[in-house]
Amino acid sequence: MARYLTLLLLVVLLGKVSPLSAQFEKNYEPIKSTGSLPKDFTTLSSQKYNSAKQNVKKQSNRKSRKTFLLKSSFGLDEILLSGKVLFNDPMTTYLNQVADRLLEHDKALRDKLHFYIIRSTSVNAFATNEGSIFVTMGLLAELENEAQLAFILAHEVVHVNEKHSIERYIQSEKIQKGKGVYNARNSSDKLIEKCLFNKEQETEADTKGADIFFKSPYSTEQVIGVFDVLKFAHLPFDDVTFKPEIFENETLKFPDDYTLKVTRPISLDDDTNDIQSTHPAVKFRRGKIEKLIAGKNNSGKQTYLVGIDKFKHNRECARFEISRLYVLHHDYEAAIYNSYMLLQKYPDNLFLKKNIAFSLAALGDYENESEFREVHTDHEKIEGKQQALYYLFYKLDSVNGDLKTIALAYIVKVRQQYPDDADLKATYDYVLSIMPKNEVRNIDYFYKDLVVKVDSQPQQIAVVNVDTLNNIDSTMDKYAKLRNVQQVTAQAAQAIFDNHYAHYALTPYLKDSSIVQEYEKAVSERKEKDKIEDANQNSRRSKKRYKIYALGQDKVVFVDPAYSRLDARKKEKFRLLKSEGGKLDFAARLQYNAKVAKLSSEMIDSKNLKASDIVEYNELAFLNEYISEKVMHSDDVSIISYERSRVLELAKKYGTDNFVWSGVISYTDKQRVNSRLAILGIFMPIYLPFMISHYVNQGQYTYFYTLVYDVKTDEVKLSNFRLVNNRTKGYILDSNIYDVMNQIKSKPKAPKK
Amino acid sequence: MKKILFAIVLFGAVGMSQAQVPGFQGKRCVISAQLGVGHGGIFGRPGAMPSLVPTLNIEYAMKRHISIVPYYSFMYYSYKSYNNNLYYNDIPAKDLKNSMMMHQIGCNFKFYRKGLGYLAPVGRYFTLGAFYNYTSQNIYTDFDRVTLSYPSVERMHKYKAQTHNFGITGGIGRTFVIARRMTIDFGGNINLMPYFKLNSGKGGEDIVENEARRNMLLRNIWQIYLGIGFLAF
Repeated sequence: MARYLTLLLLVVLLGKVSPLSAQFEKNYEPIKSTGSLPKDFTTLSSQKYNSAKQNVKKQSNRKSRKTFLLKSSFGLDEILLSGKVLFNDPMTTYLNQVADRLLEHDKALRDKLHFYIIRSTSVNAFATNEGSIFVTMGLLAELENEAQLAFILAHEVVHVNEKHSIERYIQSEKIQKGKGVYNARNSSDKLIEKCLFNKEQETEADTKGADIFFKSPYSTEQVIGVFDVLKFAHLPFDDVTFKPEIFENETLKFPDDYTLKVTRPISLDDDTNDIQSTHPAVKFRRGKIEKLIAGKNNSGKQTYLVGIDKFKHNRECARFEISRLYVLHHDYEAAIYNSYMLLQKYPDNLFLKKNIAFSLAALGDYENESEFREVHTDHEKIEGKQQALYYLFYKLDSVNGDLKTIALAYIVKVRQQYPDDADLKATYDYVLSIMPKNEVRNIDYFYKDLVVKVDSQPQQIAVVNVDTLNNIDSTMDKYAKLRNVQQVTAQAAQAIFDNHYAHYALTPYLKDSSIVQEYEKAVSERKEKDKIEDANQNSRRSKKRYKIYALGQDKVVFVDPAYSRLDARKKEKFRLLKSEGGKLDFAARLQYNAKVAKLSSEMIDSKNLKASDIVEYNELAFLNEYISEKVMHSDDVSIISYERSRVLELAKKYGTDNFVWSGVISYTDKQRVNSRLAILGIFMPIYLPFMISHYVNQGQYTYFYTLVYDVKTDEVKLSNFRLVNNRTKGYILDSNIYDVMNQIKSKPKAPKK
Repeated sequence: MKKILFAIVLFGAVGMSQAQVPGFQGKRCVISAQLGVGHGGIFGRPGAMPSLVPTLNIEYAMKRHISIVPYYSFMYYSYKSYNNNLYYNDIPAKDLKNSMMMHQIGCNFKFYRKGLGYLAPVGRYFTLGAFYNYTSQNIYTDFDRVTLSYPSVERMHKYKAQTHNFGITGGIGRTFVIARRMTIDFGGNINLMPYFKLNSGKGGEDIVENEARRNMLLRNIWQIYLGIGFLAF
């Protein structure tokens, strides 16, 4: 009985010790912000700027300082409202807890600062003038321990405390203008001067940051490793041997030469050339900190203060998150490798398998459209064991159609494990739909049985056939020999084709008649779709330059309307204050014109968020990711969106499939006076309207665009780009906005019988 | 009444055929009043001020970038006769004014600049159209001499000339909207009447007739206008 009780206690304890890792065993849910929106998110940039500039009245370089504050306020908001910044989530909460411990000796300073996690794969941390410190997920994924995180935060705190960003801006302006000692420097020298100043600041941040760190209860024992994190920031979070078996099945086996036996070792050399770098070389920084650390007493100090479990849990979250971010950034090979490494630890994790499935589908699509180079990284540039993966894709690209075949085989395999997953089903349907496209692979391509033993190395058969060429009868004349060569080469090619490994990709699954039926259905649907697309293209070419749509929709959701005011005549071309005002006005006009067009609408607007709008903020974050992922694809690639089920949930919530991205660029070019017209206008009244028109409109442009995405079909239903040769006036916007709303609302004409 | 009915039928037919014409926020018809400043036609008339031409327009966007504009214009002006320094006159001095009166009805097509991104009925445009013009002139002349007594008495005589013409017009301009529904329209046009026939009254003399012809030729030949209107439906 005591033994059972002990066992039970052990189970309970183990459960308590590693409840966090259990979260990753089966699946992973991307993290979201929670709670109320911080004030930073709900205050307009112009208001922030107005309050910040009050403090620069009596300081030197007032103009530069004001310009900096303007740029900084708007730049910060651009980051905050991009949806990439997290708050009140477990990761940011942890980050703040570390900051609390780091700065517990200086409460006043702690209260001035805000710490955020930002969704980014880069290994970085940065601070703004306003006291916001951002740590990327990429950095968190790479760190070894909590003390290293605290050390990086201490470094960033110094940047804020010493107002490094504003001083850097002012100094940069001086250098650029060639003021004082910078007079008559050429551009190369100016760049070096700027870098030198930045390096001085970084060194100061390292030194003073170390002081802050030493005052904290964090131990210095393992902190020096942070410089290894920086040095190897270009590498994934681990170096794991990649085995192509992950994509194989009972009959699908890659040829031997698809596996890279020896990978390029990771370079351990220190790069000490930092002349044109904003940061000192890692070697120098490490040396300096090592000296400072030497002899420090670590008694009573710890590497983990918030907790090792929390650190590891959040680091694991970051690693899952960057797998997702790689997919969103179209870095599919990195996404697969990252997911592959995590799969070694969590072999049953659906999220990772879905990531791999989607990435394979995307690579297959790019390869199918002969755009593979857009998303592929040359394996020769890759260091470490991950090189084997990049090499495999390089080899898969050598036979057109193989990548999509591998994608299909992998997805079918995973689907057998998760038949009800909607995202996997969508990816599966998509890959099926591209199988008959371009490099046509009908169901007949796949062998139902093992025709040739797979391990018999089909390529070698071909090679043997080619080798027989050497035994050509010497009595043959020149042309007979050449004909023989051609014949045998063709036979060899046929042998390779007949025994090509990809024929066996679906062999284990073709016994399931439903797969065959789905495949054939996809082929027929593709043919129909191609016919319609061809017809549309022909009619477009022959009829109209601008397409007029009639979508027949009743409701749309506007997603974060954009407005940019640019003035080429001014030194600061991007007019930030006017842009913000214009954005608010444009958003209101969109809604008004939709109403006039009797089109029901809702809006998710980053500049109109209230503290309670956390749901909208998360939706905005997701939709920003959705649209950037969509628009970054090459023209011919029309892959479905990543995380389809999530976007469909949104469509259901809003009661429409139509999400609208719209924006305005208001641009003023440099003035070019037409003196001939001026003279004509003065002396000949008939030219007066021309002259007035010329001077009113000269160099004024309004660029208006609208994209309507049908998130259900993943298609662009309407894309409208217009350039109006007029300054951006309300009536010009109203005229164009209403037209687009009308096109969304108008019912399509019934086809002529 | 017939005209109104005709307009309704015309606009209705155009509307039926073009379901995708957005107009301005769904409003395709602009009713506006214009005041044009045009060439009066008289060379060297005292204080040669340009003539004022009020116009009533009804503009209807019949296509995305084209609208049809039936209109009516009116012009009247008078000026002192250059023969009013006479010894004797049997016509009261205040009535010794030459005058010109014009009625013009026409129909323009406004082509909104598609290439520049405008949609009817707002933005920059050019116009082409045709019109019917009726003009009448009264010119006082002194040719009618009474020589029965000495010194001779010059009697003023009213010379009246009329024309009925068809012409063509072309111009440029722009319309913009203020306060959601109000339109401001400004531009200029050139009106050409290729042929006109003078139906002169009695008492014509070469010099007078030539003056009348010259006036007819130059009347309203160019015009700069400013209009104010509203988006009706």
